[in-house]
Amino acid sequence: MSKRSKNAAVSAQPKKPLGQRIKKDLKKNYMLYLLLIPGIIILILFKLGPLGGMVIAFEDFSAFQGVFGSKWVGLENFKRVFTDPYMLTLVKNTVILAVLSIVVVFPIPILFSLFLNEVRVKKIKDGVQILSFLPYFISSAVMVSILYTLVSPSYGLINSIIEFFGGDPIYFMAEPKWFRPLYIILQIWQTFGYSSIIYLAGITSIDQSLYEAAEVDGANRWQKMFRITLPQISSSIVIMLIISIGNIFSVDLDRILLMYNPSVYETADVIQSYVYRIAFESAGFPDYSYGTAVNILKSLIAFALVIIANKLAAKYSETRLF
Amino acid sequence: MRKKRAAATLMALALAGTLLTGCGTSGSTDSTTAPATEGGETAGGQETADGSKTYTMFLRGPFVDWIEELKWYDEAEARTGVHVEYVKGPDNETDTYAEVDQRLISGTLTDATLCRQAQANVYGAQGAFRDLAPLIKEYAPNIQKYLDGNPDYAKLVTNEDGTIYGLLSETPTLADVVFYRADHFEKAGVDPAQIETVDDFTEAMKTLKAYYGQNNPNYYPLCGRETFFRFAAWFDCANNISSEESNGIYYRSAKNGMDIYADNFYHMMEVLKGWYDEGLVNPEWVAGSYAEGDWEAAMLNGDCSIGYDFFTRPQWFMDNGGPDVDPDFQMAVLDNIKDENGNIMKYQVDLPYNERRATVINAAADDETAKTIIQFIDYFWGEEGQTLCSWGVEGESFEVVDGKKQYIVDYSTEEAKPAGEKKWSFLNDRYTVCKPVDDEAFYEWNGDVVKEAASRLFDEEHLMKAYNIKFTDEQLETLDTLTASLGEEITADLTSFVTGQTELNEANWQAFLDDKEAKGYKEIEQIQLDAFRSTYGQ
Amino acid sequence: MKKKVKLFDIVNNTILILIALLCVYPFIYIFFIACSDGTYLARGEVTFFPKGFNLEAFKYVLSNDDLNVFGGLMNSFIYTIAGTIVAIVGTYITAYALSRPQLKQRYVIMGLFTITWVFEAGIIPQYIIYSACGFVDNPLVMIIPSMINTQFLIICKTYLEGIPGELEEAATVDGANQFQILSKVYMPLSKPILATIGTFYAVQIWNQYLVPQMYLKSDKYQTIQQVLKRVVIVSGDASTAFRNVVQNDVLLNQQNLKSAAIFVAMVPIICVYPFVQKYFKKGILLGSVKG
Repeated sequence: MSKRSKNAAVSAQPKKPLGQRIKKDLKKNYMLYLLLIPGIIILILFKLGPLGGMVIAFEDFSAFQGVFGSKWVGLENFKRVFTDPYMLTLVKNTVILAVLSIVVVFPIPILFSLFLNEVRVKKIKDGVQILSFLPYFISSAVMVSILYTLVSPSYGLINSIIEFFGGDPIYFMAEPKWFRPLYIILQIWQTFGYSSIIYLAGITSIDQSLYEAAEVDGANRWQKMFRITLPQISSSIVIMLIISIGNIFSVDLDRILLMYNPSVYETADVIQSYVYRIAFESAGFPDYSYGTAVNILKSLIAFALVIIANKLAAKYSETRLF
Repeated sequence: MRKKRAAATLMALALAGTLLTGCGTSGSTDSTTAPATEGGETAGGQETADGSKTYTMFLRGPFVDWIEELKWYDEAEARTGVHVEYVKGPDNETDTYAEVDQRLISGTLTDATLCRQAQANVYGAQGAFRDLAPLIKEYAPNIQKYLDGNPDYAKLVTNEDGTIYGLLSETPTLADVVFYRADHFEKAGVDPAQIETVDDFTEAMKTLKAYYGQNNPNYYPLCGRETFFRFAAWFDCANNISSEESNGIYYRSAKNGMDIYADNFYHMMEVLKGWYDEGLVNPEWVAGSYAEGDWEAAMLNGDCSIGYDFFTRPQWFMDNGGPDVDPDFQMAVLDNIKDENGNIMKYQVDLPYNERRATVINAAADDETAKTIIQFIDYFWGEEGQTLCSWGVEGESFEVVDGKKQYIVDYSTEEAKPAGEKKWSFLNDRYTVCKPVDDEAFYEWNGDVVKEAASRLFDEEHLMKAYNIKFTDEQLETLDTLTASLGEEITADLTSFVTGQTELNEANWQAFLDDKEAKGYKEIEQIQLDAFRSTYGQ
Repeated sequence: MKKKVKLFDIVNNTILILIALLCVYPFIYIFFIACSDGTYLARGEVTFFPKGFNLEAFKYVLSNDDLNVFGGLMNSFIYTIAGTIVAIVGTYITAYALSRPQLKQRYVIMGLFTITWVFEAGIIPQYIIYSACGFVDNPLVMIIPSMINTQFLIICKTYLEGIPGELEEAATVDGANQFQILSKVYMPLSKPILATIGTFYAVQIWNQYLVPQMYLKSDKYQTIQQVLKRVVIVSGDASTAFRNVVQNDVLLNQQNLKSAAIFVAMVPIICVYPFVQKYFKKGILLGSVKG
């Protein structure tokens, strides 16, 4: 999005000595620098600082000895990542959740916006849209709490319905096979209205003459929806898809931490939740160094994916992601 | 070009950021404690306006609530002139001790705290905690006397180099008990005296289920809290240790540990699965999604007839609303289960010294504070302090008749007081900071149901013997790491066998055993055996 | 032909309305449970509509100090309001400075913001740094570190760059300095963008769970999201806060009380939602790259 208009004047004036130039610059722009102070502090302390803190991945970090006092172990922790059998489960769970959200969650807002666009009554259209993206702004804690209430085996609505039809109550939150469906349902519930806004905006900007031409050719509504509208927003779809693929390693950690419990770890435990748990909820000594090593590897892959996604997005349309 | 410059700047800034914040660590030792104390530059050891000494201590949340309700504790503070500012931690133990780690990182650890013995020794050796040995020698005659008189204890807390980082609290001799609704049994026609073996127990539950379950879909004869896998002793599958062999994970779970390689274990799983399949046990409990409050509500509301929990619990239900819900509500405690040959199955007990309750003193606390802390702890190890915490104040809570102490306050009235109100209470687990325990007073301070059960069941015939084992720091770190997730994993796997997500058959069972062996189960057993031998000799 | 089109409209409208209702029904259901009588709930007689309507559960959860629902709400309000103001100011002045062409270092700084945004250090190094800065059990953790969100910074900067430079030139000729240009020229034009990022920051601060959970340990600092986790989503070994209670002759069971707590936690968002939803919509369109 940022326009990088290259300022030629900047690089072509190394005439005066450095000190003088700095002085001049400061005198002219000191107010801007003052404005930048909070931003720079935030940047150094809270954005770059943690990057420096990653050094503990190469140490055997002890809570007491701290970053500077702990023993240096080199690549020991990284070697451990590759021999740890549990890593496989973690990577598998992480990727499965991401793939599910692309395959299952991704198409829903597209269909939703196609049909919503067909609504001719403005009040209904706006009303439906407003209600459908409300859940996006409700916190994970509330969403998961509601989920617990709905699926509770002793009093939840879902199990009441199952029992009404003669079934046995299901222990949704304690059965590994239910974790992924529930996670995805929450994901759909929370995001489809939100994502559809982007597609709807794309649809509104479609040239109306296309539809008029199609009507002359005798196209019906279905044909207009799928032969004109859908192809016209395909670039938005591609961009959104690329973004989703780029973010394959970002799961909603809040949601997972709130939803999971030891009996569903085999499907629910993902890289981020594992890192959190071994560092902050360990029943033994917390493994900060190992957790950081795991996270660095994850971040590297995620970083590469986002960069690739950005390149792809730039190729498919003029918009860059950042 | 720009990229290169950006990268260089990034590195430089990252480094600067770390240095900058690194410097910030020193000096921020005690931010949490400041508001409570006068003046407030350094929290500890300050003399307040009225001349009393004060220090801060971080404890698990409920522990603080308990201490604040104890009348005798206030008396102790008044007599010693020491005031402890307790800092409330999380509700459960794992989170609390994880927070101790985190407080070490952020430098916000209080003057004193409770932690695991492993933490005490490992961090102690790194310099995080004070060596208590010289402090005890100089300021704590009662603790010194106890150390001299109990070589097992002394050996357990003292390291090879003579340092002592954590003082452990003594555990009274007790086990969990099986308790039941006597009125339910009677109405359903179950005779508790006839329940001898596990099979009898299962039959009794079936009768109860048939009687109460027909109109109440939420009725399950057996329910509980925390882990469902607590029946190992009934099947001779409990963890155990001796100089010959070490079975199961003993470290951290002497009371609920299991020996998954025991001959009878598979049979036990079949029985437990049977209970589950026939609706005899609350499935939410099995699944681990049953909270303490759920369990209490179920027990009180009659959605359940049998529990297996801490020995004071049957009385607790009598005093906390049982009879209000149902006037017939009556609890009783079941005898130990026997095997087919009529031998009593001994139940597991906690270790004599609680390794998850080590009292440590922050190295950052000044000398004066350290002295105050050790002297205050020492008070409870002496005769006056012991009397105070076991019996209270003479004339107020107890009297001496024929040289024997007797409570003059009533257990049920006192314990029924609502949370937050001051009361006389002599339940040992209410004051969690280390002190010796008076078993006699401990049993005496109980309702009739429990007093009777304690005198009937808490002896060598009914209880196993547990051993504290002295591990080296290295062993502790390995054990701590290995057991951190393994215990949880075993529970999860066993749960899935019971609930039927994994079919219970020989092949799957073998796969389960192999998996645990690969994850260090046998290694744990070996370390335990080595340590046992070095503690108690061959 | 015409008839067919009409049928399509009816079916389509109905289905979409149903979907929209389905989206919000769980919220309404929670309210129904909270205001039903516990006796009916226990018997499983409340399914789709409330029975034995009363508001005792709300009174109970808000007035019970042990539950800390009210305290949590108040904390969340304070953090959200203070945090949003600080974040808007912080983000805006940074974006403004970085949008000025005369600031030569702006690419480097922006690049660093972007890199740290895309490459996540993770929660452990973050914890170590934050705790060294004294943010453990310090409410400022909800306000200071999250003051500049790179995504919103980019949105804001792009917006400022889109404002024509002639206005600034005119002001400069009149002798205005950078502060004056910022407050007199750009600020009035930036109201919509400020409202947009402001609402996003507010929702983000109100909703976040992990940060308070990691840093705010004392009861007195806890947010409503943490309170919810503690009283509604309990794991096996934690003690639940709820028992059956009778208040003003109404039986309140766990279900009532939990639902009341959940509802109370989402009410603020639902109340302000109708007024700010247009900013949400705008914000979403301005760019959503990374979660």
